[in-house]
Amino acid sequence: MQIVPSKQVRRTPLVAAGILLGAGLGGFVDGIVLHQILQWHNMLSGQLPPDTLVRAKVNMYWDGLFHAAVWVLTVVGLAMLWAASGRPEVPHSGRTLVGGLLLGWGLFNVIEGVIDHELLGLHHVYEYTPNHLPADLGFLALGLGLLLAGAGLVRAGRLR
Amino acid sequence: MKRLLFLLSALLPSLATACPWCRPRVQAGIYTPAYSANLLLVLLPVAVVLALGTGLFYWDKLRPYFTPPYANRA
Repeated sequence: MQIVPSKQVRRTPLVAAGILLGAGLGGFVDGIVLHQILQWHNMLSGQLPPDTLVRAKVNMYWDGLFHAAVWVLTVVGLAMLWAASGRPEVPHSGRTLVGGLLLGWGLFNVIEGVIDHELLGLHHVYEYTPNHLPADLGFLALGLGLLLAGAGLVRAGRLR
Repeated sequence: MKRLLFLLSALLPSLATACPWCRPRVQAGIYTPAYSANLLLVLLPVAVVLALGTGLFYWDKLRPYFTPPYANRA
């Protein structure tokens, strides 16, 4: 094993791979749990409520494209992890990787929550209520919590 | 067993007839004039995360482009 001076250690490739993997897997959690199992919302349910079979199937199409996109995120993250693991200056740190995964999931929730829920209104976290704000804010709070936990773990990996 | 077969025979025709009936309407609902805009909006958050992650991965190579040329001078 090649010894690398501590000044030359690079953690950003590992964090970046973790971020994309975490965002992809977090996107799958959103799609599988909130779209399919709980059926709280679909990708375009804010604009096209799935109140008929045809509308539900149209939403299903856009859910499928969303899943395809987060699959691409996951594959790119996996490729980055493979590339990073072969570089001698990138440390083999579980804390850094798990921190990156949590950062990615949190980043995805915050970006998706702000863009899709608040700015564009494509859908809300829980559609079947007149007041969408509490569930939307809960989703954003979960994202912020994951970001903080991820940043803490990445920091802990740096200190070791 | 007979009951199971009866239930299956009752379900299968409804599954088979549901799709031919609604498929043209579903396709018409997907491929609207707003298709490109919907595609862009659905993929936007994923594209933002992908750009951030890729930028961070190649940050060592990208950093010189974001650093002013006089930054390293004493």
